[in-house]
Amino acid sequence: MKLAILDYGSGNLHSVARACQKAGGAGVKARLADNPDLLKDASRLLLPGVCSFKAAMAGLERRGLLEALREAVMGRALPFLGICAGMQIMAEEGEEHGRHRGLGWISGRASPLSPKDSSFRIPHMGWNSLRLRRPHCLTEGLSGEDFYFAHSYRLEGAGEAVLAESDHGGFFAALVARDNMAGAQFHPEKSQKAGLRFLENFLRWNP
Amino acid sequence: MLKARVIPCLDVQGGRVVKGVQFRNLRDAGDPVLAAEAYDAAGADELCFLDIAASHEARRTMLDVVRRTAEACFMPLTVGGGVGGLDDMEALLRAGADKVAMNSAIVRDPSLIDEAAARFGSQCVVAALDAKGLGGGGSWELFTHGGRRRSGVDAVRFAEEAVARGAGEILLTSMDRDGTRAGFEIPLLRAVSGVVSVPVIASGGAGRLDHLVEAVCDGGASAVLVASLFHFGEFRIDEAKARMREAGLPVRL
Repeated sequence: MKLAILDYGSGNLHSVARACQKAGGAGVKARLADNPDLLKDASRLLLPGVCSFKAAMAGLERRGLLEALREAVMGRALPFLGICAGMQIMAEEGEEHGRHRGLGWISGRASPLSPKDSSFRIPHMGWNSLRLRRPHCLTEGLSGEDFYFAHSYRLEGAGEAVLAESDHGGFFAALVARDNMAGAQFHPEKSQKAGLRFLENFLRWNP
Repeated sequence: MLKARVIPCLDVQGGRVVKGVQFRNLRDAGDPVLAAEAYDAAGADELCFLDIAASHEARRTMLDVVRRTAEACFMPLTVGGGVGGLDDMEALLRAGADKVAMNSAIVRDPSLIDEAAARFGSQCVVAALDAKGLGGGGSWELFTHGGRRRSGVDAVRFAEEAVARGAGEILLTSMDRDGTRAGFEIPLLRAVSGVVSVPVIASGGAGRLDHLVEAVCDGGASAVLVASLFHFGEFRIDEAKARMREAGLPVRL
C-alpha cells in the first residue's frame, strides 16, 4: 500500500512518515509528496499540519497539490487523513490570520478556541481524552486513551461528521469523518501507543 | 480533560547527557537517545533536551541527537539551549523537534518571537525564562547566557510581552531554586501564570513529589520540568503521576 504524505513546506514531516511506517509495518510504503506527480500512484493520502490554516492552503496551492488532492480524494475516493491544520482546512473556511477559504469537504469553519473561563490556557497543549460520539473503524481498539494536542483553533460546525470530541473549557471536534475522508485535531504521530494504534486503524480503513 | 504534564529534561553536551541518568537496563546512561527511549517507555508526557554547549560543532551533534530521538520516540520533543535565530530553529524543527525554546536571543531581540510565531506557528515557540529574585521579594530579573549574564529586564513583564508577541508556552526556571531541591518558587510561578494566557512549565527546585503537586495547584503551572528527581532513579514517572492523581490533579497514566 502506497501512502503519500503531502509535503507543502510545513516543517517536520518525517515524524509522521516514521509513525505511519511503524504503525503499518512492512506492507506500507510511506513517502513524502511535494508535487502532483507523486500522488498519481498513491493509494492513501495523509495531510500533516504543523502551521496555520492560511499557510497550509497557500503551501498546497503553490506546489500544485491542491487540485491533485481534490482529484485523488473527491475523484478517486482515496482514503484521506488530515492532521491538526490538515484537518481544519477540510472545512469551508478558516479565521486564522484573516478569512480564508478551505477545501469545503466538511461543513463548518476553523475558529479560535474560546474556553468558558480564562483558567483554560490557549494553546490547548498536552494530552487530552476523547469522547466518542459513535463507533467507527478509526477508533477501533481505543477507549479512554489520551492523545497529544497543540492548537489554538478548532473546527466548528462540523455537525454529523464529528466522531469524537475533547473538552477544554467546552467540547470541540477532535476527530471528524465523512465518506473516505477523516481529520484528527490531535497529533497521532506524537501520541505514543494510542497514536500508533489510530494510524494503524487509518491504514487499514476501507471506506 | 487536559492533563498536567510531567516532562523529563536532559542536559546534553557534545551529544552526551551531562547529569547522569540512572535507569536499570540502560546500557549507556550517557546516550541521550537511549535515555529518551527509556523515558518514552516510562510514560513521560514530553521530553526536553537542553544543549548546554553552544559551539557550532556541538550544534551539529545536537541535530543528530534530535534526529535519532525523533526516529525512536513518538512523543513531543522540545529542544533548547543556544538557539540564536530562525535558521537554528528551522534546523531543529526539521530534524524532528516539535517545539524550540529560546532564551538569550529573544531577550536581546524580542521581535524574533513575532517572526518565529509567524513562520512556524505559536505552538512551537517556547520562551525559556531564567529568573532570579531581586532583594525585597516580589520581583525577578531575567538572566541570559545560561544564567551568567544579567539582562536588567523584569521577568514577569517580559513573559507578558513574549506571549503578546506570539510565544505559545513559557518555560520558567527559578535560578534561586535550581539545584536546591527545596521546591519550585511558587510566588514566581503565580506571578507569571497570573499574567499570561499560555501554558507555563515550572522548572527549578523539585526535590519531592509533593513539589510537583504544588507547582500545578499553587503555582498555576500546566506542566513540570524535572531533571535530577528522575535521573538518579530516586522516583519513577509513574510514582510522580500517582502522587499527582492522589492530590486530585488530572494526569495521564
